[in-house]
Amino acid sequence: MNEKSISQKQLFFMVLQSQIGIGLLALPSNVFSHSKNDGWMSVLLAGICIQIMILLMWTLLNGFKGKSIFEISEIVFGKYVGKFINILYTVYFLLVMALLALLFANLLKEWILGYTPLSILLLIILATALYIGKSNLRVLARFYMLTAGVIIISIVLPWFAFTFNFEWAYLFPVGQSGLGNITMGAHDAIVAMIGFEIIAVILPFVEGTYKQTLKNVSLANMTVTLMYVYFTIACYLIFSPAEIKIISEPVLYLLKAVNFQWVERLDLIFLSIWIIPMTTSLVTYFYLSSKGAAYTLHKGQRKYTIWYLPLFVFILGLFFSSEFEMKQFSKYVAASSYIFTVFMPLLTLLVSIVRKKYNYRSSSV
Amino acid sequence: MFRRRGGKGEGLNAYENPQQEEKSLFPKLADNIFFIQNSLVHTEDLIIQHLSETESLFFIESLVDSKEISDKVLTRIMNRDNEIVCDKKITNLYEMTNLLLDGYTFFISESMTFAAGFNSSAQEKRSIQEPLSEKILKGSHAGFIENLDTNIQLVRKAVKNPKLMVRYMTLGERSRTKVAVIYIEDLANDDIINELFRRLSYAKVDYIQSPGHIQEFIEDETYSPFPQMLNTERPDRVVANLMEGRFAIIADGSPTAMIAPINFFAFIQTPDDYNNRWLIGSFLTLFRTMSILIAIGLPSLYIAVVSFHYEIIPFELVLALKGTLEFVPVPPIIEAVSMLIILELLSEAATRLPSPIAQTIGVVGGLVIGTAVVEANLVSNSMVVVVALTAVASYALPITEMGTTIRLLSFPLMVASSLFGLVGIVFGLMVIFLHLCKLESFGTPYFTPLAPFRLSENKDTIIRLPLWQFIKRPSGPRPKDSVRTGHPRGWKRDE
Repeated sequence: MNEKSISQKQLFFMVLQSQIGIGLLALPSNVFSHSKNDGWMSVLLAGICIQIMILLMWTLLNGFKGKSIFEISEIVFGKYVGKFINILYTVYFLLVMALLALLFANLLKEWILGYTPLSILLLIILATALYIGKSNLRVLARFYMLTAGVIIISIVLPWFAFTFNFEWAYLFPVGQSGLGNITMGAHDAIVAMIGFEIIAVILPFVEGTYKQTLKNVSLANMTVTLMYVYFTIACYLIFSPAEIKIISEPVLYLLKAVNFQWVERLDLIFLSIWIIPMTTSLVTYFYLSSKGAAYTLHKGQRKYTIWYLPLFVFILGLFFSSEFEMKQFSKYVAASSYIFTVFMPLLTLLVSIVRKKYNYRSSSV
Repeated sequence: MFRRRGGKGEGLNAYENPQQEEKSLFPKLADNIFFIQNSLVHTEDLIIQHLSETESLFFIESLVDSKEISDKVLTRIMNRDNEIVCDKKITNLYEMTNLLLDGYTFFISESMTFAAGFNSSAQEKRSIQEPLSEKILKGSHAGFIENLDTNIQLVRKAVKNPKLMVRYMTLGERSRTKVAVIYIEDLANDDIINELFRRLSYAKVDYIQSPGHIQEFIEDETYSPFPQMLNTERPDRVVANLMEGRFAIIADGSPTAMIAPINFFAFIQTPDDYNNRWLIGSFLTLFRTMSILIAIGLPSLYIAVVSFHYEIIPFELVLALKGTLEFVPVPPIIEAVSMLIILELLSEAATRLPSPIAQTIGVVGGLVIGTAVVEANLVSNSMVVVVALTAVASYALPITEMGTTIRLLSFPLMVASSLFGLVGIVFGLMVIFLHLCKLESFGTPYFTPLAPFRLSENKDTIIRLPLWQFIKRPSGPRPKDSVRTGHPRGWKRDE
C-alpha cells in the first residue's frame, strides 16, 4: 500500500471535515419545509440515522480487517460482480463530487462573485480540489486537521447575531409538526450530513484497533449533529417561520444583518471561511472516487484518475444551467445515497454472512 | 569526471573513503620532487627548498605562514636526532599533495621512509563579529566566520559534550571544499543522519562554495518556495538546534551553517525570545506570527476589499478609501504590484550599494518616489500604506530567507484576489497550507506541530511558555532521547 497510516485523532477530523460542508447553509430552511420549527429535531434524528449507517458500515468493515470496501465487494461477490459494484460506488462518489462542486460554484456565484461565469468558478474549485486531493492520505489528514480550526471561528460568528432580537417563542410548541413530518425533515438533513462514507476506504489505514475507530467516527458524527442542531436552532430563534420559508440560505442571512464598527457583512466573511469545509468535503468525494476508479481500472494507481475525474466533473457541470436541473440532479443523488450508504453495505454484509466470508473472530478482537 | 551513479545505494559511504590512488614515496629525492611538481602542475608558488643533497622542504608559499616554518619546522629539523618530531608521517604521495594544499610543509629525506609533515598553514581570518543579517538584543553576539575550525570551535565551546560528533568530508571534485557535519550522537536520529549521508554521497559536483550550494542537492523539495533547511550565522542558534536532535552542516570558507531537519516555526524564532522573560518572548513571537499574516495577506486583502467587497468595510472607511482611489487610473492590482516592485528595487539597490550611497537611495525611495507617486495620482495613498506595512512586516522576520519567501507568495495571492476577491484568497491560502502540510524536511513534517497537530509541542510556536515547561524535546526530528529537563522548579514543591 502506498498510503501511509493516519492517527485516530486525524480520523476524527477527517470524518468531521467530510461531513460538514455546503449542506449546512440551506439546512434550516430545507428542513423547515417539512417539520416546521421542529426542524432541529429532524436534524437530531438525522444524526441518529447517520450513526446507524456508520454502525452498519463499520460492522461490515470490521469483518474484513485491513480491507477497504472495494476489496471487500470483490471478496464477497467474486471478481466480476465485485468489479461492477465497485464501479457503481465510484460513479456514486463521482456524482456526489459533481453535485458538491456545482452547488459550491452556484453558491459562490449567487453570494460573492455575481459576474464571474459559472464555468470559471467551477474551474478554480476543481483545480484547488485537484491540487489538494492528489496528495496522499497522510497529507490530507494533516490538512483536514489543520483547517478544522476555522470551524471553531464559524461557530463563534453566529453569537454576534444574538445581540439582536431573538425569540424563544419561535421554537414552541415543541413537537407540533408530528413524527411523520419530523422524519420527512430528517431526510433533508441526512443529505446535508453524508460524508462519513470516507471510513469505507480509509479505515484500513488508521492506526489502532477498529473499536477505537468506531468511537472516533461516532464522536465526529455527534459533533457534526450537535453543530447542525446549533445552527438550526440559531436560525429558528432569529427568523420567524414566515421569514425562514422565503430565504434560501438562512445561516448566511443570520450574519448579514450583523455589523460592527470595523466590519460589515459578516456573511461574506463567514462564507469565505466556510469555503474551507466545503472544499474538504468536495476533496473527500474526489479522493473516494479517484480511489475507486484507481482500484477498479488502474491497479490502485491514482496517477491517472486524479486528472480525468475532475475533467469529467467539469464537463458535466457545463451541462447544468438552470436551477431546476440542479434541483433534479440533487434529488437523484440524494436518493442514490441511501443505496450506497444503507442498501449496498447491508447487502454485502448479508451475502458475506451467507457465503461464510465474514470473519467473526476478528470482529471480536 | 562526473560518472553518473547507477543503482541505488551504490554511492553509499563513498564520501568517507574518497577513492584515492596510492603512490608510495620514491627512494630517490629527485623522483619525489618530479612527482610533486607534476601533480601540482609546476605551479610557481610551490617552493622546494633544498636543505642538502638528499633533503628537501616542500610547501606552497601562498598557503603557509613563513614564521611557522622558521620557528617550528626548521628548528625541529635541525634539532632532530634519530626521530623527527612532526605532525604527520605520510608515505602516500597523493595524500601529500592534498596536504600541501591544506598548508602543510613537508620534509623529505632519503634517509627516511616517510615524508614528515608539519602544519604550517597561514590562518588568515577575520575576527568574530555579530552577524549582520541576524542581530539580536540580548544574548551571545558571536557569529560564525569563514574559517571552519573556528566555527567548530565556537560550537564546541558552547556545548562541551563528549557526544558531539563532527564528521568531515570533502565535497566538490575540483574545489575540494572541506565540509563538516555536526550532530550530537546520542540525540540525533540515526535514520535521519544515514539519510543525510546517503544524499550527500550523490552530491558530485565540481565546485562548492558554501552550504547553500549543497542545500539544493539534498533538500526534499527544490521547487518549493519554502526553505527546508535553516541557514544561520549564529552559533547559539546552531547549538540550540543540535540540542533538539538536529544536525548542522558547515563548509569551509562560508560563515553559514545549515540546520535540518527543520520546521516552519524555527524561522520565526530568535534567541532573543529565550533570553528574555517568557511574557516578552511570547509577545514578540506573537507579533512575528502576525507579521507573517500581514506580509502574506494584507495586500491581497486590500485588493479584494477595494475591488470586490466594498460592503465588508464600514461606510465611513469606504468614503475615505474612495477618496484616495478616485483619481488613480489603474486597477488596484497594478498599483500594488508596481509599488511592490519599486520596493523590491529599492531594497535590492540599498543592499548592494556602499552604505553612504545607500542613504541616498533611502531618500530617493522614501521621499521622491513615495510622495511624488501619490501626488501624481499614480498610486493611491492607502496603497502606499498597505505596501509599506507589508514590507515592514516581512522584514520583521528574523530569517531573511523566510521573509522573502513570504513576500514572494503574496504576489500569486494578489493575482488570485484581483480575480476572485476573498474567494481567491481563501483558495490561494488553502493551496499554500496544503503545500506546507505536504512538505517534509528529511522525512519529518515541515509544518509540525500544527500539521500534524501536537498540542503539547505548541509551547514555542506562536507563543513561548516558560522554559521549565519544555520537558520534552520536539518530536519533529525524532530525537533518541526525548526528555529535556528534570524538574527545574522542583524546589518549589519541596519547600
